[in-house]
Amino acid sequence: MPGEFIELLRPLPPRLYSISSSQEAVGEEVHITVSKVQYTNKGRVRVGACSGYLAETLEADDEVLVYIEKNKNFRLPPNGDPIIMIGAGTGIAPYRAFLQHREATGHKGKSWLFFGERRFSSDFLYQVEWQKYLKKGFLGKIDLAFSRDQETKSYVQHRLSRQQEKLFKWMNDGAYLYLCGDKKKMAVDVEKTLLEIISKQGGMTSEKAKEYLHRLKKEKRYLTEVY
Amino acid sequence: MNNQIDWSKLSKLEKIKHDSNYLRGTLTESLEDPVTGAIAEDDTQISKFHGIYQQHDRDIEKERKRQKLEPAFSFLIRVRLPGGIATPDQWLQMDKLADKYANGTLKLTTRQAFQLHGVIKRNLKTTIQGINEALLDTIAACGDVNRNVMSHANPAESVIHEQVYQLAGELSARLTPQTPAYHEIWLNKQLVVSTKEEIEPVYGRRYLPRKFKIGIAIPPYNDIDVFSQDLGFIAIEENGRLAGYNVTVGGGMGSTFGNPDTYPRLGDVIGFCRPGQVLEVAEKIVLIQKDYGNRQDRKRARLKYTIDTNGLEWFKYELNNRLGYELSPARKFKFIRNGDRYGWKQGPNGKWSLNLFVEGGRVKDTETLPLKTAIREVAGKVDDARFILTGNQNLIIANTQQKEKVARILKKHGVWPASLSGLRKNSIACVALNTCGLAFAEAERYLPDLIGKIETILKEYDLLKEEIVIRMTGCPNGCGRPYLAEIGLIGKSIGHYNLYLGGNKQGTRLNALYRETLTEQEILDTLKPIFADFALNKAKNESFGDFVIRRQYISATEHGRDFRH
Ligand SMILES: Cc1cc2nc3c(=O)[nH]c(=O)nc-3n(C[C@H](O)[C@H](O)[C@H](O)COP(=O)(O)OP(=O)(O)OC[C@H]3O[C@@H](n4cnc5c(N)ncnc54)[C@H](O)[C@@H]3O)c2cc1C
Ligand code: SF4
Repeated sequence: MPGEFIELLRPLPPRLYSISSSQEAVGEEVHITVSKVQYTNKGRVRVGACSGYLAETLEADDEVLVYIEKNKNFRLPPNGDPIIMIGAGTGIAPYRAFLQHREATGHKGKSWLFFGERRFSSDFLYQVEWQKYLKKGFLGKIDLAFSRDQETKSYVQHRLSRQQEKLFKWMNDGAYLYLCGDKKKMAVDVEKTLLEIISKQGGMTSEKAKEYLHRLKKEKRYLTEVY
Repeated sequence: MNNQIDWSKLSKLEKIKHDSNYLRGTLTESLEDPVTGAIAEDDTQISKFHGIYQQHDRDIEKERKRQKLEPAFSFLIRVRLPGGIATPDQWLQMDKLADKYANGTLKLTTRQAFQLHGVIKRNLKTTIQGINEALLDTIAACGDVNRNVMSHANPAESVIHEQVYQLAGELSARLTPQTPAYHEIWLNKQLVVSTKEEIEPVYGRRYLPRKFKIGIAIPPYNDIDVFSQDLGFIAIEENGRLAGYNVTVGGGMGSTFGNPDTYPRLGDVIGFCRPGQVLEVAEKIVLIQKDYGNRQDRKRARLKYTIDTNGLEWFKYELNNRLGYELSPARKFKFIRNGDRYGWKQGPNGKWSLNLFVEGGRVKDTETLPLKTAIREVAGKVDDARFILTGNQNLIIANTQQKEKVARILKKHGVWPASLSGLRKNSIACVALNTCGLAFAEAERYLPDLIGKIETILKEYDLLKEEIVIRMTGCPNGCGRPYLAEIGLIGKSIGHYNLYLGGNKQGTRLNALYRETLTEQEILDTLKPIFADFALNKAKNESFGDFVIRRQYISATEHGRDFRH
């Protein structure tokens, strides 16, 4: 019996996607930013079960079962405190929501976006929106790393490193630090770089630098959503 | 000075030029802006004076918008080449830059310049520096200044070619903007300029009201279409020596659909000057245009309108006044052809030149024709050759004593000899889609196909060998000089063209609108009965353009003002 067979299988676990929109701006909609997982297995091109479904199969007006899993911490600071947003790839999703929110509510707090992807010409996600936010003053600064656009690869952490003086000043001045995106590589490299920056700019030992970052975490001023 | 100008009356560009600090604008900042592949809007005007046009790929415009990406911006770089001559090293460098930073092709323009297409912003500076390494530049290749000076192309065709070519260089040098902006922005050079001197002695802060074009022809050949130039010089050869030049003024192709105040116009011959007077005559004419040209309406700003507004007599008076002498009466001349004459020719100096056909002026490799590779090989192996771009978007491998070697290489790649119909040989197409922002329709990407279809008809009437000048542009701006063609096609909308008939092979007569907004099938159906008639009733040596007038398909356009779209 097919029914019985299906019951034997493990149910597909849910997949999480960061919301990349603000209710203040889009009302009843929810936007997500999905990167289609694709790999070759035994010579066959496979796509991720969920991301492949969303990107290839799903059509307008189809229905999808969803639920909201809240991340209470990864949010804009309540008052217009400065924010530093670091992300690569789909890690940009929540920042789009942040700026949509700030625009919709008219808040022009200081903000700085570090974004990395492969190519400027094809992978600069939401390019025209960042341009608009910059022009209107909702986004203050932006630093971009497109790894495939030059011979020596350049990633977000390299941009952070290059801006370390200013970055450390922002941190000391109470900026909120956000990190979103790939856990295995990007988050590790970025955190390593952050520690280097803190230690160098703050004249601290690496132990002290760790403490500094830990304190930010405890004060909920260093927030991550990595996967 | 600034507060004496009432900007509200002037074209927006006048203020942009004025405020650009001699063509600097905010180009440096624009180049560094990482968020966009574009440059600031005002800088897109200023960059033209540096030979750089911002464009975007119109084929993928909609798709990118959907992806929340800005248009795929890239830049056209036009390399100035007065008289159109490049050395093998220069050719090799352009060839390399095309592969490395552009779309892998070289466009030879109707003004004897090179164009690179598809250079993205972050490669602009490196590309310009690469051009500079080949001792070439892009200054004033576009913009409201004197553009690339054209000269009769084929050294094998005239004993005075060398002198005329030299003159093209001198005219160019005399009328090149003097601002150090180019060197600062692209070559990182800080030029020391004395603050006391006027930075732009000829042009001033606002440069010209509009572009300005100069060309020199050597009769009986009119390959540069001298009557399409704002200022033309017709070399007068007497007893194998250069006597001087007839001067023509007020030519220009551009016009706008639905604006009868704009029209293509042929230059008027106003007199003759000696070789030693040419530079002065040119400069004075440029200055008249600078002072009197229309700075309110750019569509009416070319010299042709300045002359029609004030009258030709006024213009001559003004010129004589500024010169302090009168031009002598024009000398006799006769043009027989404005097309190129293909094939090998031995020049008066005993050296050989081969005029090649380059379809649409596009030097590229295709599966059937590795033209780019072939020319690269010639440039690499034939060190005494010169590479001359013709006013018909073609190429002359010139002035070589290694004829056999050139022939062998070209034969190996199937480039020459080539068998071409008389129509194809005489075709010109502008760039148009997908990069020209003004294009309403295809031209370069489409004309080769259309010609193929017309050839089928020509074959039916045994007219394949008949030389007929056909030119297609994607808009009425006229970069491919369509108004002088025997068959002119100007894009109205995607897949639709206006058909103009009745230009001549000498480049001395404007054509006239025959049918409007035709599809491909309609173009073919319209031409077919005319070709049938032509095959049957053409007089001996009568050209197609003359024929359609004699048989009253259309009446000849006497003056540009009478031209209608
Ligand atoms: C808090 C959180 C937020 C997230 N936010 C986003 C977001 O905003 N946008 C987004 O796109 N994703 C986001 N993700 C990731 C997302 O939830 C999914 O994990 C992702 O879309 C992949 O799911 P899938 O069903 O498409 O792939 P699956 O089919 O589940 O495949 C999962 C992984 O297995 C690997 N894999 C499996 N088999 C092989 C094989 N044979 N060879 C090589 N590799 C193999 C694939 O590389 C792939 O990475 C988030 C995750 C979390 C936890
Ligand atoms: S004629 Fe028009 S379409 Fe063609 S290149 Fe010139 S401006 Fe563009």
